Amino acid sequence: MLHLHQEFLLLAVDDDGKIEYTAGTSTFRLAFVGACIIELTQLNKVDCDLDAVNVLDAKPPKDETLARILGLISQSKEPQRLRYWLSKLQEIFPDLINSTLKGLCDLGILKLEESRFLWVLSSRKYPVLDGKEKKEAKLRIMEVLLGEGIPDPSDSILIGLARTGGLLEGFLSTKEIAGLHERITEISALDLTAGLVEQAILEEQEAVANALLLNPHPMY
Amino acid sequence: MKIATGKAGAYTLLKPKGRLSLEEQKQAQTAFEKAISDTNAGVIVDCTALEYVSSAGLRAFLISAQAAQRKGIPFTVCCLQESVASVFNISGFDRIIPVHEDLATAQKTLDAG
Repeated sequence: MLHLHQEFLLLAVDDDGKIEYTAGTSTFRLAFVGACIIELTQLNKVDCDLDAVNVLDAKPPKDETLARILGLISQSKEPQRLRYWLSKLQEIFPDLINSTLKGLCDLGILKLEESRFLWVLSSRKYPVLDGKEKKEAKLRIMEVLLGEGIPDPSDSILIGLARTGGLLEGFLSTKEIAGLHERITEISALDLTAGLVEQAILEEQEAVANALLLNPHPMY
Repeated sequence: MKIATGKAGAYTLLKPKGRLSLEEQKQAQTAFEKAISDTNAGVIVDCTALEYVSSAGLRAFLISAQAAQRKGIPFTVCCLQESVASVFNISGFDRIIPVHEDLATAQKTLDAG
């Protein structure tokens, strides 16, 4: 089974191997680093409360991305709030994304394709190989959304992140999302760390919206 | 953490006392699940003396709520301290597990079906 941050990133890779445009947004960055910390809580490496992220087991996990984050959190002189780590980890966001993409390539889920544009500019694509894992994640999400029961924590967390990270739009129409709104809201997160990540994302979205309202034409 | 067990009318009443983090999660989950398996009426968790819940500790509530739902009996909580209520609210647990202000209201709501 894939880690949460791997599944989340996989949902952002389209069939051609391009990463969805949403991946460049601050919302996506927050959701991705949030997914990494949530996964560390699920692995019982860290525990989170309203005041701090506390290390329970500093032994690095196999996954390179998670190991790097756990290393940083472990090295902190004193426990910091989740908000601190969400912001701090964005400084190394490109590295975290690259190591996660590499991990997915190593697992044979994605394939790295490098190409040159005008013989100079290089571009990278990560086509999905057989798409089984991505299909499975989407199916699990749909099953939970169309069901009525209390979902498994990992599913509700993935749905919450996909919602706030803008990835549900990748496989559900606006009309479908509107129809499932009540259920999505009901079962999103269902985890304290995921709830705190969601809260941070919503505040970030509000700040961006306010900034745009105050300065709708930043170029001029 | 200590968990006292008793009765509130027809329902099993659990009263956890202290902190609920990863260390206590298993103990809480075992107690909650045993209460669910031993009753056909329903379980009320009175959180008056529950001082702290972490992300890991919270999982005990979710897994127990799933178990109760599978069995078709109510699983409800009451008397949350302010910090624990915040945790329930932020995590969205209060959307799937009924939360009541006091034990009498919890019992009355369960009685009303």
